[in-house]
Amino acid sequence: MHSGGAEAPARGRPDATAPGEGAHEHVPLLGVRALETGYGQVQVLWGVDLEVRSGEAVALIGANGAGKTTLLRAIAGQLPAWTGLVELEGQDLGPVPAHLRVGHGVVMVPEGRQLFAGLTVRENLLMGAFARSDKAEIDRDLERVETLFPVLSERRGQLAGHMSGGEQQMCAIGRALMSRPRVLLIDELSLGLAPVVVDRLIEAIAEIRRDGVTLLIVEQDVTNALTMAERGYVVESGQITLAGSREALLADPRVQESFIGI
Amino acid sequence: MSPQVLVNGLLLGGIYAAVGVGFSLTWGVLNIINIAHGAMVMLGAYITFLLFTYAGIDPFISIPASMFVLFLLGYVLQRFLINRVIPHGVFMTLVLTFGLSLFLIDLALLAFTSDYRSVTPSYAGSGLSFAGVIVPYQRLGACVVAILIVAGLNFYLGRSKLGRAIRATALNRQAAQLVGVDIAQIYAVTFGIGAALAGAAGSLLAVTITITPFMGQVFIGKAFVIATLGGLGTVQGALIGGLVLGMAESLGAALIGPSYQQAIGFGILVLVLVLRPEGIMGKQFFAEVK
Ligand SMILES: Nc1ncnc2c1ncn2[C@@H]1O[C@H](COP(=O)(O)OP(=O)(O)OP(=O)(O)O)[C@@H](O)[C@H]1O
Ligand SMILES: [Mg+2]
Repeated sequence: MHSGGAEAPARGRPDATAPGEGAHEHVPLLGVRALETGYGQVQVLWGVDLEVRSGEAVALIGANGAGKTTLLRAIAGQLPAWTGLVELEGQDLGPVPAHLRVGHGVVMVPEGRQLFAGLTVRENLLMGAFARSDKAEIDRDLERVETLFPVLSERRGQLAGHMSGGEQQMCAIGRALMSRPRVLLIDELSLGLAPVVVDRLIEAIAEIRRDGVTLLIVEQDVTNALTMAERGYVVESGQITLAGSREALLADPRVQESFIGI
Repeated sequence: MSPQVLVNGLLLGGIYAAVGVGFSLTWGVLNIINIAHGAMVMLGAYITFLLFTYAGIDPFISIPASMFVLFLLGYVLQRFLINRVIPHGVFMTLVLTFGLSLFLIDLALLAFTSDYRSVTPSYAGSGLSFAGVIVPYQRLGACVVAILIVAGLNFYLGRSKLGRAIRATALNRQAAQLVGVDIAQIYAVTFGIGAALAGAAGSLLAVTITITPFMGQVFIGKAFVIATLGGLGTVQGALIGGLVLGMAESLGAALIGPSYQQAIGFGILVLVLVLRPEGIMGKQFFAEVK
């Protein structure tokens, strides 16, 4: 489904899509610097460095328990950084609490979708626009999301908790798009979904990208991950152990051995 | 059986709905069992008493005032006190609201003494009468206003952006935060609304029962029954729960004897918990054990 790139409004804020001035060109949209964090006394991330430039799609790959979700949660502000920084265009997000990061354009599709199960599909999408008050633009985005995922329009009055896993993932992505992300963090795009649904989601991600949204995607299936992203990081035991382009990662024996499993 | 018994049950049930709805909201959305709800009802009644006695304001006109004062009290208590113990679980908040309850009652004792007070507007004692059934104006007014308040709340929660955010927060706190909801703020507002509803119920009770610092205590048990009966956190549930309890108490008093009133309420509670633990109107996904 391709609505034609010309019509598609840049979904990110205008200032995000046009890194005009020279000084800004070297500042990534999202920067993670020597980040350490964890839960209670237990440290999970040990000095993570990562960059996502405006317009990129970047994959985060790693075994179960490596710390991928923890990293995304720290970027979204749900976990405080113990040391190190999360930066948006060079600005430290440390003092910005989770609920205000949405307004800065940092939006997450959480692991397990986390929809509002007892609200309707339409109400879930509208909750995505909670931090906004531009009524006309919200209506336009709603239309855009429902064009991207027609099932969300057909099922608008249904409780989100009564939808299939694939439909729920579409609703979760739609809800996140309603927040107008500049950088969209997606945790486990395809987990537990049928291949045909996954293909549909991968297509949708490509379209979201064309709308100007920058992406950081956690994905179990490395082949899928590197179909969507042109670059990736490998996380092991809370550290980045490998980083590189799609081609470099796919050719790397460690990636082949650990994740593509031959 | 006399139709008067049914009418009494209905009138009582309307007020019970108003008493229970705020308690149910706070419990269902915030997972806080607000033991101070009864004391808040009592404060609402004293506000109406003061405004009536010293300013001649009609008790029904004073409802917005007690709702406003109680909203502020609830908001501040939640924001600066209860929010701090929420991470420690439902038992700690229970203990805290129990302490608050004692505190508010003692405060009322100091301010108003334990003397019995009442609010007697000019129309007190008169009422409608048809086919041998008497409907006192105050009780009728209280019941109608109670139902209007409950319906208004239902409409507000269902249609407004804030209402949607409150329901979303009840369903999934983490996700609400991720879309930009300030959870602490929603908690404070919701607790404030619950307290405002207690205040309204207190104002309505002021015209129908005697006002003392302890008047709210009996309603904590009833609020438990109403909220559980109807289904936690749902407004329609509180309405149904209130009406069922009012009717059951009225019928029970007539058929078995007035001294069994409390036993009947809790008997119903036990039955519901065994037969339909999600309540009569319990909605799927809401107030599930978290
Ligand atoms: N809420 C929590 N409290 C304590 N420890 C946690 C919590 N969540 C995760 N952990 C621990 O942190 C480590 C990293 O977990 P994380 O969820 O970030 O991994 P992941 O890479 O997302 O794994 P998966 O692929 O299974 O989703 C694990 O050892 C996990 O046990
Ligand atoms: Mg994970």
